[in-house]
Amino acid sequence: MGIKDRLATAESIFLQLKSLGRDPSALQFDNMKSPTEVTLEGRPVTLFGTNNYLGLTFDEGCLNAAAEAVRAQGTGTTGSRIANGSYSSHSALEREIASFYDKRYSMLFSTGYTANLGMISVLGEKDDYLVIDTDSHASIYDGCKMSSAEVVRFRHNSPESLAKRLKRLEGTAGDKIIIIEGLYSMLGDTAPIDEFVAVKKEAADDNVYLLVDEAHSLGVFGATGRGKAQADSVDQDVDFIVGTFSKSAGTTGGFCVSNLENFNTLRFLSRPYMFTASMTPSAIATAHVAFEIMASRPHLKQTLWKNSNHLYHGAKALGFRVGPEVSPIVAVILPDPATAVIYWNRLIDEGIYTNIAVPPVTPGNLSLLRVSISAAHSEEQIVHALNVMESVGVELGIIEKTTRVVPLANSPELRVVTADGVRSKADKKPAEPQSKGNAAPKA
Amino acid sequence: MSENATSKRVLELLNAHMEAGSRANLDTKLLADTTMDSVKVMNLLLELEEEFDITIPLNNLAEAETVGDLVEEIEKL
Repeated sequence: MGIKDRLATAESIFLQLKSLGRDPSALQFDNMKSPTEVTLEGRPVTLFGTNNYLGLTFDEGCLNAAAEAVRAQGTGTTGSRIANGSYSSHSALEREIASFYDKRYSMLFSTGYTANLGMISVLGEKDDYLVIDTDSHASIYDGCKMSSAEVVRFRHNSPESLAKRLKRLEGTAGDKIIIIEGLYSMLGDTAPIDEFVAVKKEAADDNVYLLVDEAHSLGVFGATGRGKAQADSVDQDVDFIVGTFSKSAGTTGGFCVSNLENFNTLRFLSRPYMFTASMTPSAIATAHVAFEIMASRPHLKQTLWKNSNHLYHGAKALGFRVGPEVSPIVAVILPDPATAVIYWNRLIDEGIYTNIAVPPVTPGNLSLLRVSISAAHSEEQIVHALNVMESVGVELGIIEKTTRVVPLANSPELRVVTADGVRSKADKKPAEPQSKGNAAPKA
Repeated sequence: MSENATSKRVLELLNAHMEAGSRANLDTKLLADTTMDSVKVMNLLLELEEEFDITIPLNNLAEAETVGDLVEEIEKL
C-alpha cells in the first residue's frame, strides 16, 4: 500500500471518531494562566490532561532561570553535542542528575523519547535480547525496532512471565536487557520493580541488565523523587534509569543514568544522541531548578498524592470504573470507543480537559479517559471536576444517578492509601504508597 | 502445510479470539482476514508462548502473514 492509500485509509478511520466531536490532535490552548488553567475555544478550561505532576511550568524560579539562560546563552544550541560541541551547562546538569540518582554517569538526550531510542537501540545488538513488558511505551518499541537484537515480550507487570522467558533464554549467547517502566502512562499502574530485580538476580548472569523508564514516576515516587525503583528500595540494583524532563520537571529533554563502565562511550555509538540538536539552554536551566525544587519542596509531592487520592477515590465513589491503583494518572474506563469520545467531548464542553485513549493504543483494548493530577490543582478544582464528571456521566448513562455527594478530600467516606499501604479513612494523612525503607537520599 | 497437533492447537487458540461464526484455517491471513487488530495478535502470541513453552521473537513475525506461516515459525522454535 502506497502513502496515498495509507493516508486515505487512516483518514477514513479517523473521520469516524472525528464525526463524534472534536479532533484531539487539533485542540489549541490559549491564555495559559497557570499550570491548570487555559482558554480553549474562547472559554476557560481546567486542565486534567497534562503530565505536569509537580505543577512547575509556571514556577517563578524555573521561569527566571529559563529567561536568564536564554539571555545569557541564546535560544538554541543549533547542533548536536558530538558535532557542534557541548555547553558547560549540559555537563553541569549531567553531574547533577548523576548525583540525584547516586550513579556514576549520566547522559542527556533532547527528549524522553530519544532517551529511550538512544539507549535501547545501542544496548541491544545482534545476538542480544531485548526483553520488554507488553504494555511498553511507543518509545521503547521504537527503540527495539532500531536495534538488531531479538525482541521478546513478557506479560504486563508479571515477574513470573519474565522469569519464564529468561529461563528459556538460558545458555544463549548475548546480553539480555529487561525493560520496564516505573509508572505506566495509560492505566496509571506501577511495576513491582523489587520483584523484577529479584528475577534478574535469580538469573545470576552478569549479562542480564535491567533498564527502568521512570518518565512518569520521576518526582512522583521515592523518598527523594527518583521514581518507583527508589520507592521499592532497588534503585541501586537498576542498571539503567531513563527519564524525561518533560513531565515533573516541566520542560523538555531526557536522560539516562548508570554505573556501567565506559558508559560515556555510548555517546559515540548512540545515533539518537549523536544526530539531533542538544537540549536548549532554557530547558537545561529549567531542569536544573526543577531538580532543586524536588529536593527543597517535598510538600509538592505530598500535595500531588493528596490530590491523586482525592480524584481516584472520588471517581470510584461516584461509580466510575477506574484503574487498578492510586497514582497521578487516573484512568476512567468506559464501555466503548464511541462513549469515550462523546464523554471526552462533553467534559470539554463543561470546562474539563482530559486525555482520551482508545484501542489499539490502550492496554487490553480498553477505551478510557486519562485524567491526570497535578500538585497545582486546588481542592476546589478537583471537586469541580468530580461534579462535572458525575453530571455528564449520569447524562450519558455511564454511571447511575444517585443522591451521593461528591466527596471532599477530607471526607470520611473517601478511602485513601496511607503510608503503611493499608487503605483507611481519608482523615488520616494521605500519602504516596509506602517506600520500603530506601537508603538515605544523596544531597 | 498439512494439519498437525501444533496447527490444531494454534487454530483453537486463534478461533477463541474470532467473532462468533467465523473460523480460521491455515490459509487465513492473521490481520487481513480476521477481526483481530495488531494488539490482539500480540496477545495471541503470548498465549502461544505459554502453550508451547517457547519464546517467539517479534522480529521473526514480519514474514508470518498467514496462520500456516505462524505454525511454521512455531515449529522451528
